[in-house]
Amino acid sequence: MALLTPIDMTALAARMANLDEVKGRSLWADARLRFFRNKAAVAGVVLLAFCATYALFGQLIAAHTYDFQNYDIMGEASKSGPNWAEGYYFGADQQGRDLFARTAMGTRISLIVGLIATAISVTLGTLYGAVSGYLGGRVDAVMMRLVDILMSIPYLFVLILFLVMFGRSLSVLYLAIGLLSWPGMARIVRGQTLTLKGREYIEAAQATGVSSFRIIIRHIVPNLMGIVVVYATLLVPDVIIGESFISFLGLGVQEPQTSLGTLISDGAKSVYYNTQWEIAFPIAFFMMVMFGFYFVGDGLRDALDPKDR
Amino acid sequence: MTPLLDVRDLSVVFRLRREGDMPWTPPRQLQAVRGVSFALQPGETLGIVGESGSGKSTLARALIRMVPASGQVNWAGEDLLTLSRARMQRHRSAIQMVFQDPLASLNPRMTVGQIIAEPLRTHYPEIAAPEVKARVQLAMDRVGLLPNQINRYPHEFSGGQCQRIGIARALIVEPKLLICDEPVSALDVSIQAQVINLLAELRRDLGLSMIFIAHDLSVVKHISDRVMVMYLGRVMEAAPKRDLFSRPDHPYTQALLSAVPIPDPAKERAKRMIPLQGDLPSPMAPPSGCVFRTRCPRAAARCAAEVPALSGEGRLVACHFPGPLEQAA
Amino acid sequence: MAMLDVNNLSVRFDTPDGVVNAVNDVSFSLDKGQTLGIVGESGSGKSQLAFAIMGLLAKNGRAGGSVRFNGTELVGAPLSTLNRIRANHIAMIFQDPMTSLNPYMRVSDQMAEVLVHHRGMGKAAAVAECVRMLDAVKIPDARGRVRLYPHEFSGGMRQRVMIAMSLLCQPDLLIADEPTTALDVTVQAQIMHLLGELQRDFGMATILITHDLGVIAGFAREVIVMYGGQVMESAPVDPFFARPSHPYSRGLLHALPRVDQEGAVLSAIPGTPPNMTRAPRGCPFAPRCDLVMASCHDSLSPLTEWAPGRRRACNRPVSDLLEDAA
Repeated sequence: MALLTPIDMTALAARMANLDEVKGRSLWADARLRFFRNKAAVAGVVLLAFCATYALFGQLIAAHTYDFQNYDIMGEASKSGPNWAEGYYFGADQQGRDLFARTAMGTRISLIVGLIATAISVTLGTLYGAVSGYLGGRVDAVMMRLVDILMSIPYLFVLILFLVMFGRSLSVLYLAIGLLSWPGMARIVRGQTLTLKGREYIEAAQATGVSSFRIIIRHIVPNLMGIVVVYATLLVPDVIIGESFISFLGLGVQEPQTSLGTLISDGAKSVYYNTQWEIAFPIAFFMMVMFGFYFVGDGLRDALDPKDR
Repeated sequence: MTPLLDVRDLSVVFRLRREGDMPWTPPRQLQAVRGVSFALQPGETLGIVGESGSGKSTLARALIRMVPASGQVNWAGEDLLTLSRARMQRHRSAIQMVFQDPLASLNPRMTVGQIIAEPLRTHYPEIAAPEVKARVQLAMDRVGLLPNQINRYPHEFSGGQCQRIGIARALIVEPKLLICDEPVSALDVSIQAQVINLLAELRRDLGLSMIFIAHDLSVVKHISDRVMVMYLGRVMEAAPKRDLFSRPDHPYTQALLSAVPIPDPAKERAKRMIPLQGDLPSPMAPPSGCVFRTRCPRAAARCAAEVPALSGEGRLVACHFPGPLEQAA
Repeated sequence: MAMLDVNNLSVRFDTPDGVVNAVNDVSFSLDKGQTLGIVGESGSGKSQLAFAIMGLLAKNGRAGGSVRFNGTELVGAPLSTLNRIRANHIAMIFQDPMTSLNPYMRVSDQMAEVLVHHRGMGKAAAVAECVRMLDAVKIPDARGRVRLYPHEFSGGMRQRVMIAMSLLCQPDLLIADEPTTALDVTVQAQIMHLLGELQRDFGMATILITHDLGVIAGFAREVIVMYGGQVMESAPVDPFFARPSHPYSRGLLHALPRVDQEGAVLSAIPGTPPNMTRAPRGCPFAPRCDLVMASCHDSLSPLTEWAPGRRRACNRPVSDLLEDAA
């Protein structure tokens, strides 16, 4: 290999003497600017921040713990409504537990499941899709057929099977949802990778002999982040809905822990007894979380892809 | 003198599968480059011209194994086409490429510093970060960029500056051969001249050899020592620049030259145009014999039967009836 | 009165980054049968000028000034007037024919539609007329090919279809915006040759917008040079190419590599074109001009006629340039 010529720093230094290094403005910085100009997106962020704060600190403010059963009001619809004097801001459930604390707990669990499962799904899907799309040819064909097979498996049944086999626990829940929802991500990422692969900067990297692995990590994945982030924000509510559905069926998190889905399920069962608050508050938070993620997702899409409007 | 690069009978065949083809359907074949041979002397600039579909860009990519090819590409005593991946990697730093679209050839998420440093980090991973930075700044200075712009992103530069970044990236590993694929065709006239001058200056100062691919004959004429004209994957004519432009022997070269608009109204109105009939034939089903015969004013029965060999002394022509325009007319 | 009278035409765009002055105070006129070339680099405003004449600016664009076509004011005209003018009097062809051809419609259908819609012709007669027009643009086997879809034509043939379509209503004015930029040089020569013939046969006025001075030299009689949204120089082609009277035109001509001359070093114009969101106050070319004076950064003298048919916008006296050139 040819030796490089030694560098003469003095000449360069002389020319650089009165030049300060200019800081660049990355595409991310541009996107951030556009995002925060979008009112709906900012509203989404505020909504999510509110829900997150409530989920994190709601139990500290609550007058009662989420698992304390007040036998005085248990099973009595007339006594268990929202009552500020007693500290039951959202009322109590059939077991006489504070709904304010329980909704905070439920929001927290739902957010945790949504975020972790999405993180798993996005990581797996991005790497799988990028590798499949970049390598192309037979590898791509085999990898994508595998995705097709995975996508044709009835997702909810397998999820239920997982929960039955490995027991009902939070970690099984998000691991299972994460492991089951990545093929969609992989497909989207692969499609995007195929268009990126034809770009000249990828060709430039290939021409100079950059390894495939480094091309995927340094050139493909950073340029996928736009679409990945958008898809992820839209996947979180999907996962939360999935988790809620599972919990609604009674297979989700275990008592006395709870999630928004479980709360809504319980609330729905007791609507007969005129305890509307039992369903109203969990649903309100569920919807706020959904709206928040959808608004943020839309805002991100517009911010990251200004041409597509 | 031993040539720097000696290409023998290079061919590139693409196998195309149509969407929806069954796995057992044989793919259709597209011969993008057929039997191209040429040699490049150290310090020489070879211009390759041709219209779209002529295979000129594919040829360039075949040289550095970005597309699968057959034939020989002799470089530094080895045939690049038969080398193992690892051995090929050792030659990659010596042959660098400059691309057509200045902005698209730069990763939008990387800073200029990271972009220019990439070949260096790939081929010389042992070099420490401060030295990498110094070399990047030196390269930037060399191509007329302010070294303090090292942390900026490509979209903050104009087209001409982006092309300078692309050139700095190619130069940082001190290549012997620079392959320029339409390096100025996306640039405005006033910027185009800056980049051409820069390339000419670098070639002189660094003793670079160059393969300069373009569809614009005036640009090729300006920068090349020798020019090769391609049509449908084959070489039609290859000659020293002066000969080729003053007295083209191949009817295709003549037609091509006559089509170039001249920025001089009197000359432009007076010039004799040799119109080409019809369209470019499909590269899937090229004409038999001479590929140019379907549009050639001199075509005869022999042209359909026999492929004309590229032959001659100093200037090479692939035509059964070569000769200057006046004689043939 | 000229057929087309453009007076102080300006185009502004409201963008998130501020107002972009794409075209500033452009004036020219064009008579029947004339050929005008507008030359400029990307961002010079030459295409926006054409869009403004046609009333086809993007939603965030506003045109100011006046464009009169046979006495009818087009700037701010109601859509019905614009549609009538566009249907019967002014046609436009673009760099990429696919932007104006519907990929899902047969060429015969989309061409005939124009005639049926604007002329009230019967379908069969309209298709016959389309075939005649495709013949006129020298598409071989026009009768057979009229039933094809746009993507079944090659780039050059597609541009011919586009030209045929624009000629259907026998326009008085054809605006061609970079009609050959995407084409190979031999195809470009064919198309320009065709446009020249059609222009003579149909007697329409033509505005050719391009970045290629060579194409202008072969086709146009008059040339307008634009830079940074302003007209720098306008002149008949012969004196323009022989003795450009503006430093930018001269720089452009000297920066061009040429097949008909042995070139040494090209004299490149240093610097980069202006960013139109922060347009300079004075002459837009001042930062790159080799004859720049202090006053150029503050103000630019308006476009004035200094010899018959020749206009220039430059603070330097014309003698400074022509002495040089001689």
